[in-house]
Amino acid sequence: MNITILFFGMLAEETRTSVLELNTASLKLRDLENEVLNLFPVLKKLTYGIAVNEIIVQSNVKLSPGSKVAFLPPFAGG
Amino acid sequence: MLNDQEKYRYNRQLILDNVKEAGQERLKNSRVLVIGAGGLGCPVLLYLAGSGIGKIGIMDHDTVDESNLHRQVLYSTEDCGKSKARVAEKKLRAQNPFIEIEIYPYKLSAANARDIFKKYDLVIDGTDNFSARYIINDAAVLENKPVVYGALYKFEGQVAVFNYQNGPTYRCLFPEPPKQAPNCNEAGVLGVLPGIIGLYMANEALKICLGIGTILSGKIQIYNGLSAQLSTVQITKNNTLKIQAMQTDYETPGMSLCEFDNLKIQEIDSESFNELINTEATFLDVRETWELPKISSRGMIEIPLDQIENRVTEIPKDKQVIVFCKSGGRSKLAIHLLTKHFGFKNLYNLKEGIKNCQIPV
Repeated sequence: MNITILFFGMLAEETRTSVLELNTASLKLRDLENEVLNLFPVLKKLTYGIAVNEIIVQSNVKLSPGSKVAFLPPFAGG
Repeated sequence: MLNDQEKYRYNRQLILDNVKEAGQERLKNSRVLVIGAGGLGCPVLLYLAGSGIGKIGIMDHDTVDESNLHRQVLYSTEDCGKSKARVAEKKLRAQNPFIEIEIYPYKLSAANARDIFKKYDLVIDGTDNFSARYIINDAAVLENKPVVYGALYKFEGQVAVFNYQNGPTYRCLFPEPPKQAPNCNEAGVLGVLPGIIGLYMANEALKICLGIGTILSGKIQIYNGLSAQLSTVQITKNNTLKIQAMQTDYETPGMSLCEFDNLKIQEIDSESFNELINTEATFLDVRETWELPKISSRGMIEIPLDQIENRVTEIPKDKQVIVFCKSGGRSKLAIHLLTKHFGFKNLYNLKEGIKNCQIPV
């Protein structure tokens, strides 16, 4: 199925990507996250929160076709 | 009660249906603490003072630098070198003599936060480092105060209201400070972005004080100034997080311009630096390669801060090395990293960086 991946802040910079359409066999968030980490190993050393369809999730939620998965970094500038 | 002059001053917002005189009095009775009088703090302060918030606290330990002026709109060229909190106080008193201002021209800490928060109804987080942000979060939870939060990275800004009526907190979004290695290259920011994000923050603060509208609680908004896109993401409360007391240590590796109070860093001053530059002494320049002025010396090693870990073998361990950057923040981070993780003991920081040095060209 197709999933839209979004990167914000320095994550977009480090991956040189802000939006990515991914055709994936992953049905659950953790599998998809691992797939994304393999595509962009640079993410392994960064901190981020994940939102699925605009809701921050901590658990391994089920994905459905067209889900939007956003990676949000903390930043502190003021 | 509002006097006639106040009624006239606030007329344009007072005639709004959901403000009226009662709303204006609510603003007058509100006490708001603004932490960080920088890029975010300046617009927040100007508009809260203008709107008639009755008591404003200003906390900032820093002084005005010329490189602040493109975005920190409370300050003028003549203010350089002066305490931000004191200058801000003076400007706001001139702007609105009907409000009370209290300043805290020192650093927020785990030890002082709760006592100060007790005196306010609402806290505004306009700080520039993770350490302060987690101190603010924890103290606000313990004192049961809502926090209006804003943060910037280059062209992107985040805004949220945390701990509002027992709602989600910053830790529900990011439970712990980031793990990324120090990356203190001051990120750069277009002057308007803190203005935009600061005004989103001021708007949330005014709604909270007035008790009107929908508060940006349980959500974080992300504005991208380049694409002009505004995204909103929902945050749910993480009930497994229990903050019982302040932590003793809020030092984080990913702080922006962090200060390592418990690591004793050996320092040299600009005078010694000027004397050493023409000798065989070894220097480590951790600025980006494009930064000016270029400094040449026989023993110069140039490694930008974010490459230090990969190029650590280029730095000698058997003789004194003087580490420097523009203003002494990144060099401190480099020393912290090299001391803690690579066992260096021979590093000296150039206090306050090369901006104070007479560099022979």
